[in-house]
Order: sequence, then C-alpha cells, then structure tokens
Amino acid sequence: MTSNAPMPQRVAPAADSPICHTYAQLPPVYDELWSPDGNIRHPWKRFIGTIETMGCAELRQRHQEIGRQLKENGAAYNIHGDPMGNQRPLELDIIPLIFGPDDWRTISAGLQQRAHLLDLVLQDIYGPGNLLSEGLLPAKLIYSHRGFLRPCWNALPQTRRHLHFYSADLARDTAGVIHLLADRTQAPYGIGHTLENRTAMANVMGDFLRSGKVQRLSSFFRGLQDALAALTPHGHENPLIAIYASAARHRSYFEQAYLGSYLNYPVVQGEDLTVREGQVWLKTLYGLNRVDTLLRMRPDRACDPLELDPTTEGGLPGLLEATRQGHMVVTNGLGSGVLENPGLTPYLPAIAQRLLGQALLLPSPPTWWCGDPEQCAYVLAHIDELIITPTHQAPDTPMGLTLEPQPGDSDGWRQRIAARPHLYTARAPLATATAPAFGENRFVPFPTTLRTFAIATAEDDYTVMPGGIARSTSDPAASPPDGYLKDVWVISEAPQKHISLWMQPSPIGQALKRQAGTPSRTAENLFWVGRYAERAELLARMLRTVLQHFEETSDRESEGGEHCLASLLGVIRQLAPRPDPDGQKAAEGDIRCDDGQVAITIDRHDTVSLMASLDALFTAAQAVRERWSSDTWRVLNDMRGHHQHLGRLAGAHRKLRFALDRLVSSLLAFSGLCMESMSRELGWVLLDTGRRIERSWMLSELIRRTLVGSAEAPVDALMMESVLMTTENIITYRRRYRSFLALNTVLDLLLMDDKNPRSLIFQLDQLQAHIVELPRKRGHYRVRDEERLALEAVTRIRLSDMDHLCETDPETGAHFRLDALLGQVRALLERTSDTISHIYFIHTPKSRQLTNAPPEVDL
Amino acid sequence: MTYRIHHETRYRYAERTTVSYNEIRLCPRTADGQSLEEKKVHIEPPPAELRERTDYFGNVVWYVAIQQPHEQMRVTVDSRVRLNRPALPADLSQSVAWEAAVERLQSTADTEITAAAEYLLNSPLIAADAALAAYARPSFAPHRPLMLAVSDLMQRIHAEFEFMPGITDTTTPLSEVLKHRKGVCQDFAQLAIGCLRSMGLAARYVSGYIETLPPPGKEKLQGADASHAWCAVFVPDFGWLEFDPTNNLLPFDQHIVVGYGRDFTDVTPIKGVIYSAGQQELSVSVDVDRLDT
Repeated sequence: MTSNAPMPQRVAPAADSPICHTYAQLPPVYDELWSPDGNIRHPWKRFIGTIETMGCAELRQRHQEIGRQLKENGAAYNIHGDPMGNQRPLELDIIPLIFGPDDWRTISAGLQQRAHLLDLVLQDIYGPGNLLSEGLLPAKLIYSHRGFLRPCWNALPQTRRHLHFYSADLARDTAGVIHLLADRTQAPYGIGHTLENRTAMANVMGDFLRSGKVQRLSSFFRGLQDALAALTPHGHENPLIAIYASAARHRSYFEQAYLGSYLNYPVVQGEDLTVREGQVWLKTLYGLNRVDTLLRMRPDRACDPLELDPTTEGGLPGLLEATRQGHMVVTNGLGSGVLENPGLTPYLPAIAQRLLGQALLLPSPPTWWCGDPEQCAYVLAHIDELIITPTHQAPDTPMGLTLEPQPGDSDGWRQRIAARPHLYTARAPLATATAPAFGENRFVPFPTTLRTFAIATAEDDYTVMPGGIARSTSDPAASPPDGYLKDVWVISEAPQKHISLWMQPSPIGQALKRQAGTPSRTAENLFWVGRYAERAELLARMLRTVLQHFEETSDRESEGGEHCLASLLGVIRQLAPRPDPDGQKAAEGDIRCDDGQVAITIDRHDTVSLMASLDALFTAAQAVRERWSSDTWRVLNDMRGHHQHLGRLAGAHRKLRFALDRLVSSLLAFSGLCMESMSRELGWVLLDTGRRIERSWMLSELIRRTLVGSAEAPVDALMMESVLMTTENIITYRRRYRSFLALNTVLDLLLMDDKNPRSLIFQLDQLQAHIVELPRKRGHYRVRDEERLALEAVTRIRLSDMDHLCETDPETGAHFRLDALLGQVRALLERTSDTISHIYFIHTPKSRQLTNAPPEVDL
Repeated sequence: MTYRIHHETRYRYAERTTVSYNEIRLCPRTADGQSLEEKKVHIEPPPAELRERTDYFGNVVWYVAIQQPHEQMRVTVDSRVRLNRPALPADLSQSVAWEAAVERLQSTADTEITAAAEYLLNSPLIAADAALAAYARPSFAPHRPLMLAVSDLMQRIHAEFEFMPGITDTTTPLSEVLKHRKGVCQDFAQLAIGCLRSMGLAARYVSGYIETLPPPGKEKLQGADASHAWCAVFVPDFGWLEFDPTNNLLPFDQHIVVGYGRDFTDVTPIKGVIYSAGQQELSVSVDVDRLDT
C-alpha cells in the first residue's frame, strides 16, 4: 500500500500494557481511530474514554458476550452460502466503526445524490432511452448486461421513484477521502444483519450507545415502514406489505426473517402467493388476502418464471403483469439489477451533469469499461495493476469481496476480455483506510469497508440510514471469509430520543396493525414443527429407556428384559424404518444372548430416526424463523448442538444416555416456550394440533406394540414399567397405585385419564378443541370431516370398557380388543392429519414451462 | 395484397393443471408495409384474464391466465393483414461495403445505429463464434457491398443445407446445425444471423407466415402450413433488409411478419407455466389465404 500520509510515530506502549486500545504500531495509512500525530480522532474520544474507565478485561468479556448472543440468534453471516450450515460465521466485533457528524453528512449527501441519479437512469433505461440515443450511455453496455430485463421495459411500477431502496459499499482511502465502491440496487441485502448487529450491540454496549450520543436506527426503520405504506397504489387504510424472500436455505434468509419479524411483515415465497385478476394474493388460512407491496429480497430474474428467467425456482408467474396493471408495487422495481453494473461508473459523471446539473459528490476509484476500445486498450496495457470484474455481479455479492486484485491470471482475463470486451470492467485498487478490531486483547488495525442503506421516503427524497454494517479484513478474498463484521455508529450533535416502532403511531403506522392472516405455508410449517418436536421427544425417551434397561438387565439376566428391549427397539425402528442399503432385515441381530448375557448394539441407525426427526424439525422451524422469540431460538440452537453431538456418540451408551437427557430437556424447554410464549393465534393452534396428533399417534403405536402381548410373550411388569417410563407416567402411576403393576390400571392412566396430560384421551380432547378453532368458510355450519374424525376417536376411547379391553384371546393370548381399538384410533388420526393438510395447506405441484428454456449465455 | 390467417394451437397436458399463465405472440404486428386489419383470438378454456400489450420489440403479446382446472388449452387466432411493402432495392450492389458497415455499427453517435447495436450482440440461442465466421467468410470478399454479401450467404445456406423437419428442436445449438447441415426455417434463420453477427454485423430474427398456395407455374414454397421464420440484416443508410434463407428470396408480398426479436426466444409463439407433471403434446395448424391480388 502506498500513502502520502506523514510517517507515523510510534504511539504504542509495550505489548503487556493494560491499555488495550493502542496499536503495536500505527498503520502507515489513514486510520479511523488514530490521527498521524498519535491523537485519538474526535468521534472516538468518548468511546475510548469509556473503555479506559471500564478496563480491558471488561471489554474482552463483552466481546465474548456479543459473540455468544449472535451465535444463539443463529445469524451467521454466511458469506459463502452453505445450506449445511458448516460455514464459519464472521464474528461481530465489539469495536464499532464510528463516524462523526461531518463525515456522515458527506456520505449522506453523496448517497442521496447517487440514489436520485440512479433512479433517473433506471427510469430512462426502461422508458424513453434518451441516455442511449444521446450517447451518454453506450448501447452495448446496457444491451449486454444480464440485469437488463427486456420484459421490464415500460413496466416499472407507477410510483414516483423506482429505486425504493439503494445500498452502497463505501471505503475511505489512505488520504481520508470516502469513495463509493459499488451500487446495490436490487434489494437491501445486509439491512437485516445491520438491525441484528445493532440489537446485539445495544444489549452489550447499551451504556456506550447512550453516553456516546450514537444515532439510533429505529427512526430510519419507521421511515421505511411509512415509505412502503405510502407506495400502496390504492392508498387504502390497511396495506398488506410482505417480504418476498429467497428460499429458506439461502444465505440471506436469516436476515430476511429477522427484518420481517422486526417490521411485522409476513415473510413469503412464490408458492405463498398467487396472481388473480391482475392482483397478487397471499394464500392464508382464511383464504386469499390481497397484497399491496412486496419488498423483494430475491433477484429480479427469479421473480417471475413466465416472463423473466424460466429456469429459476420459487418465482410467481404473472407477477410482472400484475405490476404492469399497477394494482401492487414490487420494491425495488423489477429490472433494477441493470444498475448493478460497474461499467456505468465511467459514464455517471457526465450523466449527473446532464440529468442533475451537478458533479458527483462521492468519488469512485477510476474505472474502465472494456467495451470502449480506448478504455480497453488502457486496461490491457495495465492489466496487472487493475482489478478486473465482469459487468454482471451476483445481486447479493457480499461487500468487500471485490476489493482486492484477483490473484494472478492476467492472461486468463486478457483472453476473456479479447473475446467479449463489453462484459468486463477494470478499476484501480483502492488503498483502504484501517479501523481497529478487537483481537488478542488489544486493538489491531484492519482495512475496513462499509455498506449503508437509503430509502425513498414518502416525501420523494432519500433518507440514509445513520449506520450500517462494516467489514474489517486483511484479506477480503479469503475463503472461508476472514475478518470481523462491525456495527457502524454515527455520532449525533444532539442527544438521541428513543423512538421505537410502536411508540408513536402515525396514521400510517396505525395501519400496520392489520393482520396479514397466517400464510398457509407458515401454518403448514408450524404443524410439522409440532409433529416433529413431539416425535423427537418420544423417540429420545424410548432410546433412553432402552439404554437404561440395558444397563440394568445385565444384572437381572431376565428373558423378559431381552424381550422388552427388543420390543422397544422394534417400535423405534418401525416408526422410522432405518435405511437398509444391503437389503437385509437389520432389526434382529443387534440384540443377542451370549452366555446368558444380553448384549445390545445401539448404532447410528438407531439414532437415525431421531436425528431425521430433529433435522425435519429444524428445517420447518427455520422456514418460519420470524415466529420464534429469541429465547425460543436459543433453545432450538441448543438442540442443534445436541443433535450434532448425538451424531458422534454412536456406540457409547452412557454418554449417549446423558446426551439424550440433555436433548429431552431442550425439547421440553421448547414445548414449554411454545405453550407459554406463543400467542394463541391460528399458527399456534396448528402447531399444537400437530403436536397432539403426533403424541396420540405415537402413544397408540407404543401401547399396541408393547402391551397387546401374546401367548409366547405375555405382557410383563418390566414392559409396563418401560412404557410408563417412556411416556413420563411412572411417577404418577407409583403415587396412585403404589408398586402394584397391572394392565388395567396402566391402561387407565395411559388411555382414559383425561386429567393426565400424557394420556391418549387428553391429546384427543385437545385435538378436538383445536379443530373447532380452525377457520371455516363463511356460512358453513355443518360438521366438517376433520371434526367428525376427531370426535369419533374421542368417543371410541371414552366408550371403551376397561375390563372388556383387557380380555385376551384364548388362543393367541393377545389383548385383541385393545389391539383393535388402538388400530382404529391410529387410522382416524392419520385421516385427520390428511384432511387438515388437504384443506389448509398449499398443494401446488411444481410448476413447469411449456417450452424448453434456452441455456444461459453471455451476450 | 391482403391475407387471412387462421392459426390454431393445441396443448394437451399429461396431467390436469389447476391454473396456467401464458404469453402468446401470434398476432401479426404492424410493420413497414404491413398493417393489421382484423384480429380475433379465442382461447379454450375461457381465460380469467386476457390482456394485450406491445412488448419491447414492438410485437403484440397476449397475456392469458386460465384459472380453472384444464387438461388442454386451445388457442385460435384469426387475422387479416394487408401488405403494401416498399419496393425491394433494385440493385443490391448499391449498398455500403460490408467492412464499412461493420465500422459504422461501432459508432455511438447515430441513434438508428445505437438501436441496431442490440442485434450485434449474442442472444440466448445465437452466440457468435469462429466457426460461424469461417462459414460466412467466403460470402464476404473485401469491399463487397453488404446486400450482395448477404444475398450470397443466403444462397449458400439454401444450397448447402437440407430442409428436414424433426431433427432439430427450438433449442438445438447452431454448432449442431452447422455440423449436420440439416434443419428447418428457424435453424437457417438463426444460422444466418449467427454468421452475420460473427462478422460484426447486426441481424435480427423475424417470425411470421408465408403464403401456402403456390402461384401458378411456380414451385411450392417450403415452410407452408406452419409458422415461418426468416431474418433481417441492418444496412446503414438503408435500414433492415429482410431475407429468407430457407427459400432463397427477399420477402416481398408473400411473407407476413408476426414478430421481430434477437432470436426465437424473443418471439416464442406460446410460453406458459403450468402446474402439472409430465410432457405435453403440441399440435398446430396454420392456413394462410390470399383474399385479393
């Protein structure tokens, strides 16, 4: 790096100094914290002062605390999206990036101007095309760009602005000048993380934020809500605004869910929506609900498979036509990706003069577009000194990744540029200013870039967020990503008032209260969260009982013990058939008798069904991320930890049992939170319906497979005890019946006792009550199928006579009436589940194209 | 010259779909020397929405949403088109030399040329490459007038390629067509476009119809009873010159234009999204009748 800055002086004391905020050596470039003369820059003074009184140890503690908080949120900023979650999250640094009012005024004014300019360029490109015909923009630069979507021509939303959100990546050079590195014009990627980072910082560094006069973000988000509400084409009272999210496995999904939950917007995907009569509708449990505005967090190409990219999934056919009709608005307008083109940079100064009569306020590093022969000649002559980038960038490119020169391979670039020069740009590298990050108990200077956000407000101006997200790294191209994320603090001149989203309702703010209605897909996911959580719990309990018995059985040398183990394992395996790659029946052979000793092998396969249930639980929970409180999410994250641990423990019985104990505790904490912290809205009703169906189904299966018995294997005390243990009934039973184990009393507690929350009848009563609450079509008062099915199950249990149930078949020795009853209940439960799923959930088959899609090519 | 065109398309799906969203480009457009006098579109089952608009290329598009369960969709378009085309250039040699055209196309000052720049670039189905340039080169002798060079290229494609339906489909790459020297009108049009773009010229795709009844004493034209496709090259100081490599002629009063585009993908007659598994069957019938002379 080169710099014209004066030679720095050493300011650092020895490495063991208690003062953690000094560098070992001043960086030879502009540093955000230290000025070259060794003084702390003004905006940092209060922050550093507070640290000095607080001490280094405390700062370190808080640094760890913030890491823990974010980990619990599950908000790894997955720079390299990895659906398996193996990515290393970037740590949020305890040291923010602090800007004073003067710097931030420069940034704000620059971004407002830029957003305004780009909005006009966007309107021109998809409208009159004057910039092209006047030669201010080269035709090839636009026509060859993948973001130029011809179907969007003349189809921008009928709002005054078309670029509703604008984000920019910025960096300061070594002389202290702030540069604009890249424009982000599709969606405000990173805005949810910014919000989350600030929330975590407020928890850990609240005292610093308050005393340091740091500008709050809440008024920006209030403005955002007002701006979106004001876009509503019909201007009606209760706009329905939704976040049109990427797939739940996408790296950006977390922040989308976070944003949705903060702004109280439903987070939806293509299959949640449908286009009818030129309007977009959200499919909810109450039917179709008209959508006014979609805040899209997915690339425009992937928004409408009919008119845009037919190869993308999860889009909404007809969306573009709906926006043409003007009954709803998509932000940012479809097609806005055309502005994410670094090749525009050399042309923007002249365009700013032409359209605004102004010079650009924020400089960018010199940039060349290879489609112009002269610029191309320069690039080829200096290719080793420049950063080459294609004109097309992935819309959610994480900031900073394009900062440094691509390693080597200038010959490769040369060839590519020669073949299709108009697809490449080059820019001079920017020697970037450093900012402190907290590492190894002291401050370390790292080159730092930041992203911040602007929104088009109802007043037709742009408001810039007083904050953002920064990244400090010595190697932006490192994989896995390296460095820290930082919260961006803007110091205000005046003390900050607290504005929360619900303290000052404006007329528009009031309107936000309207219920979007539970989207059907959300309901479906909650239903499966209930079912899988319950299944996982019972499976974990059964495995635990098996292990416990096994440890005791070696002393007992009882045949009954062996039989009991085999039955329980059998239930586990039957409930979730193990993968059987060799085509062998593997259920036997794992339990064998050696010299009167029972040996048991619990291998990976026995935990497979449990692991699979947990996986399915996490997937469903992740898809409705915005529904969970931070406490609930923490429990889910703990569970994820146990799940991973469990996978490594196969064979180690005692450790496995302890791991299962912890898992059961987490599952119980989760179910407790669902009961105590979730509002009893329809979503909860569906979740608990799933839970009740699963628990009654599992319970009837367990009883049927263990307590029906036969002549060869009569029901014995050990078996009954195991079932009571597994179902968490053993304490109640002992208290009530002392130590006398008999089938009729066991069944009485397990099946008939409607005060026992673990009994079958209790589940069925709850189920029946939930089903009554499910929405019905107006004017339909007849008993519905699912009500009838639940009623029948309840009645069959209630009308059973215990003595009758305990009768055995004289020939087979089995409790055949019990068997039949449980079989009927099981069938009724399956039909109830199917009926609910059929009526309330989405059953859209995969969409397909009538014509084959052409392969994607570079134009 | 007035023509009546009847075009019927039927899609039969493997399974029932509850809804379908379609974009239909089957309406003859207004073009230089062509006016649309009448149009009628009929869709079975009756669509919940049918809206007409003009797309980026100036073509007529019908947006059609069907919101009732259906196993097939029938689209019938009847139109009457009047042709009054300007005379063809009397002398093809009176055009700019092709190298000069290539150079003029790089200019950024001229609005007309800026608009043509779109057709210099690759498009989803047509990527310029060395093989296409090599095939084109014999037609492009130094300083040859552009129209003559194009006419020569058209004659060579007509002579060296065999018209053979059924071996190519809408996504067959040009390299295959070049290798096997067989295909249909769409392949030949896209081949010619690919050759021209590889030479640095601007060329576009034209979809439409060709009169089906042979005039007395003349050979029957290929491509009858179906949609037809040909292409056009941008000639500076002249404009777009259409040519039909399948039939080796310059379209005059027997070609009816439906749409212009960079290639087939921009003028696909029917695009649609359905919710049903399995392959669909497509059947098409087209009648082009001359109403007067």
